[in-house]
Amino acid sequence: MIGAFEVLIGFVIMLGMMAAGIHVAVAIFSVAALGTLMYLGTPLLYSFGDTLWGTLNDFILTAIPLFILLGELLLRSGITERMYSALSVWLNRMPGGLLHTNIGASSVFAAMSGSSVATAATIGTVALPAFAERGYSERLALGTLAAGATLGILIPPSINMIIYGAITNTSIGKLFIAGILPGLALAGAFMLAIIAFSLLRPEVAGEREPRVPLRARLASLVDLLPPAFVFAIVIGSIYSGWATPTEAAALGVVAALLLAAINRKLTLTMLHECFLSMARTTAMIMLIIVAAFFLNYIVGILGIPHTLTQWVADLGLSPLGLILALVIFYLVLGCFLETLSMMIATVPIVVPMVVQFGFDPVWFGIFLVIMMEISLITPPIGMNLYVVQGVRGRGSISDVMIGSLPFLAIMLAFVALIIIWPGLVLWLPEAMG
Amino acid sequence: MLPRNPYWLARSLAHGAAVAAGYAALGLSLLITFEVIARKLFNFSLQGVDEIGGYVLAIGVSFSFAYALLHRAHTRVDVLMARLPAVLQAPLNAAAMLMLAAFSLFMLWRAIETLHETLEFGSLASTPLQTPLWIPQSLWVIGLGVFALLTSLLALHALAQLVTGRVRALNRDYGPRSAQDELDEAQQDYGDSVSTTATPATQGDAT
Repeated sequence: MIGAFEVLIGFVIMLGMMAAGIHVAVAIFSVAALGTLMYLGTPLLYSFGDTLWGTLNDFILTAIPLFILLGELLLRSGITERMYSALSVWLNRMPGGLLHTNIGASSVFAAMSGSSVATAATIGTVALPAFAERGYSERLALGTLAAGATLGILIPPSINMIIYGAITNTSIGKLFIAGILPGLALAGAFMLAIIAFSLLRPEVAGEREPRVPLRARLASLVDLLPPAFVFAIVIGSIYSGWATPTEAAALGVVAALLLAAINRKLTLTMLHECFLSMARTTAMIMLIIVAAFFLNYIVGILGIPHTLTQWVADLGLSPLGLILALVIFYLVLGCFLETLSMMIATVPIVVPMVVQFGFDPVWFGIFLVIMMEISLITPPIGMNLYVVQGVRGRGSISDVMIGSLPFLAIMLAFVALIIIWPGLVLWLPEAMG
Repeated sequence: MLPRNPYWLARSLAHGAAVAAGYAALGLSLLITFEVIARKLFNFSLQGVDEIGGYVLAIGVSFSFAYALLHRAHTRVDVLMARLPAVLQAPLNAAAMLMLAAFSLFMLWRAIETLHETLEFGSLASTPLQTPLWIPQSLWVIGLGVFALLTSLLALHALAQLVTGRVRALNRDYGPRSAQDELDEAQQDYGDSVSTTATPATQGDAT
């Protein structure tokens, strides 16, 4: 019904509109509308009202504002600094010292808040002054901040996975669980790289940190309890099957509310600030999602996944060749699209095709999230690079880019690893049953 | 982003609606928490919490669209635009606003049609609560109406600026947000909860 060439033209029009600064949601909707008018006629276009209601009135997507609210409450409950200190006394003694704390704190914090901007802003503000004082390689310190903050979308809860799951009809609970091992493995690989660097070139790692007595270290664990508590409630309730992801988000909100109250940070002003942030971010995401759901619907009716699958098969690509092509596709796309838009705009077209080639949708979701993380620190436009540079407030952005390169390389190697060994992703969710 | 006076009403309305959406989300969280605990421990279910959750999302989001718009939060790609001269940015910014207005009006139009059909058939939700769907859908349509009204006003404002050649004002009011803008906002938002007590440096010295 529709050829691969027409699909390509549609995709290019969409990208062109985005590049011209048209709102991403409008660009996505416009190509969907264009395709509808050209091939299907106005009645289907008019059915948009029902798509709109069906998408917005969806309990699964209700998880999005709730997880955002959870993150906002935690961000404003004053646990960041103490968490950073607590992590630092535990991780300091490894070669590379405070650099490990950056990775650890950024990934925990990004996982909780779901926002790499908020993570880089808060952790960066706490961490950067200390690095200058102690003679660390500034580039590497900046790189750990930029890279650490990307891990948040892989470690659950992750808004990106909710969106992926909702568009592709994949179990969000399984996606969450599947993200845990790769998230930990990546954080571990970052830390190993820091150790290796510090051993090979001791000058990057600054002064050795003083040893902290065991008692003080144990006492500092108290400050790690709040994030651990919320994480355990959210992930535990999903893993055990007690709650759906949306319900788990609600449990997390109530837990975060309690924590804020215990820390005496819970005021009406604070609560309203959380609400406003939640409303803003949710509306921003949902406007793109309603457009993407319509595109998804139209793409399905037009049989585009089938067309593309046929086309790829005719090219003689093997499944492996397809995935490698997609790695390049997302690397290039990530150079000029904002990551969330990149995912939402491509998932309706790419995922059905990939699934027909025999890939597991949960595995592909994790693959995609890692590709998004990579694009967050890929020059020239990786968002995290600019945010970290903004926190630093002086010097050149190229320091941040150079400092992030080793982590970029590790992430690419990790993508190769999960392609070779999908079990790393799929073992936990399959054990969940 | 805007001259205060003509829009203060819109701003405060959108602000109020966003706070209300927050309270709805909070209330929903408490309700769900109660439901999960009751279901697990006492084998008792409230019924229909998920349905209410859907309505909270639909209505809350439709009212929040306008608030996000006032904060320029709706995503745009600024990679290419940021490299263009201001004279070229201006028409693109105006075009973006006009297209957003067209989209929001189309959403409103189709949403009204959906509500119209609901009223015609007296549709009930196919759930235990059997909510008459016109109730949540009316609120949803009103929210989308506010969004459409606001985008239209802003689009006209942008167009007026373009026609009268106020390029710089247009780019300031309707340009895409850069990473730096995002960061400034995040630092402003979360700055209070950072800053004060222990930096790692003082922690190390103390022990």
